[in-house]
Amino acid sequence: MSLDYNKPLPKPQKWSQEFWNGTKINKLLLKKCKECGHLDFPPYMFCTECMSPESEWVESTGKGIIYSFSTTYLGAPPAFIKGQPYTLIFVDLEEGVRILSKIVDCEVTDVKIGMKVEAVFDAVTEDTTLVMFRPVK
Amino acid sequence: MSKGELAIIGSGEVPCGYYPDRKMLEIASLVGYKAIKDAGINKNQIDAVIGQMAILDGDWNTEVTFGRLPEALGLKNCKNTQLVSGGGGSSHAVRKAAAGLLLTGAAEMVLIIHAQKFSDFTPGQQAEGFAKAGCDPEWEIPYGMNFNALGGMIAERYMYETGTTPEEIAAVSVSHRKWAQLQDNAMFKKDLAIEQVLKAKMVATPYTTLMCNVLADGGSAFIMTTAERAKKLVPKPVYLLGEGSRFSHRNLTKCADLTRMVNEPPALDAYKMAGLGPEDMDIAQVYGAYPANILMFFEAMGFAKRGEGGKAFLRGDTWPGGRIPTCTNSEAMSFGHTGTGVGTALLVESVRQLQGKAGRAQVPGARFLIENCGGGAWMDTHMAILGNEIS
Repeated sequence: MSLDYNKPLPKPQKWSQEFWNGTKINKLLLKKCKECGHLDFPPYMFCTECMSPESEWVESTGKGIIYSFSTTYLGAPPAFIKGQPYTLIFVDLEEGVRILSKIVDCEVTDVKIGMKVEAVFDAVTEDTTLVMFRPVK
Repeated sequence: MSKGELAIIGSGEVPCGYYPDRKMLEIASLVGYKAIKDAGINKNQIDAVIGQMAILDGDWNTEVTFGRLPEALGLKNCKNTQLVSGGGGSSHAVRKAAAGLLLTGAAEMVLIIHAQKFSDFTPGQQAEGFAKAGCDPEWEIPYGMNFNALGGMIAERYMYETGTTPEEIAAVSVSHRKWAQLQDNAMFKKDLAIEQVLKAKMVATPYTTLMCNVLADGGSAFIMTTAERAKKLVPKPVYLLGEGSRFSHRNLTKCADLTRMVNEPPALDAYKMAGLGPEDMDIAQVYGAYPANILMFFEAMGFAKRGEGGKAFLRGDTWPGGRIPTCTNSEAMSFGHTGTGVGTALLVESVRQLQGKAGRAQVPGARFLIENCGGGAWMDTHMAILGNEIS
């Protein structure tokens, strides 16, 4: 955690606040429709399948596989330039939703499609904890 | 719109690149003037002006919204003016807005103008602006998502699934550069070799600097009217023969198949409407902005089997004089990326080709071509078939 964290932070919506409340206690929560059971990531106000306003939050195992990745060496947005190179990944979670994140605890040149990863939580400020992923050992 | 109901009768363009002394209104005035002169009409025949949205430039978008274009060009009979954006799909969005005006009788002659001046913004503002434009502020930007990485993630998956090699990816940059050498208005004209493209500095894997587009200053304009009027005004109107569109996603995580997206269905729709197929096309004007996307669109248009697009580029099928001349204006990677104007630049090049006005880049006897555009982070795909005769 750092007081001088200068990177852009998520500004949660009313219906996504619970996701960010979850990350603060190291839980990866997914919005599930109470009517049709559909999991929405990113979450929206209404279920994107059946438009129901009724939903609940279910905890993900945080485990998944890398669907694709790209390592940024140059041209990152200003706040991220110091952190180059870094690898962005699309993770297909076991629950069937795809999430964008960054890989940690892994050499950027070792990242591969199909690699098994698990969620780790990075409390970047007092109010915000981001979800990163690391390779499953 | 039904087949051959609408036509483009003239176009204008300014050189693309770094032109800090050329202001937005100068670009817009020049391209508007050139399109009017090219069509050979009187300015007062234009009764509607559509300004295409500029990226990052709220002041300019306000100017357009508040009627600067018809006043600056002295369009005495203008009845309608508006600002239109479909992001990178704007060349489609402005055509549809124009079609609405023309087919409801609200206008007889529509001038469409795009201008962009990225040199007014620092590289940091551009990177941040495009990150904000292309990526989700809550779920992607906090992780450092950027446009080149979005492109890179598509390319990594496409290469993984199809076996496309880095050399085949680089071949797209090389092919574009062959065309750039025939285009006076292109930004980068030096010949490229595969090795050079691969050895350039890495930006976002697998893309090197020479596989990424560069934001630039530029602009273009065209004039659209009904086919009936067009035939009386110019010797070679360019007819809209077929169209197809699909929307896919906002966030790339919502695109189920990154290597196919929604590219093929709109191409099939457009061919069906035109009553033509890939074998009838003389040119492929592909807007992908990055090599793997170019290959995916090229394949979806029917010019190569899945995973074989890169081989076609490597063989030179897409080069000047090749089997299927592709991206004859040299596209975003060589011509320069003017925000919402990449598709518009390809469209005005398509018009020049079909009117026989493409200069050194002219594909001899070109009759029909297919072009595409799309916005967001490949959020949608629009395909169009154009021709200088009604198929």
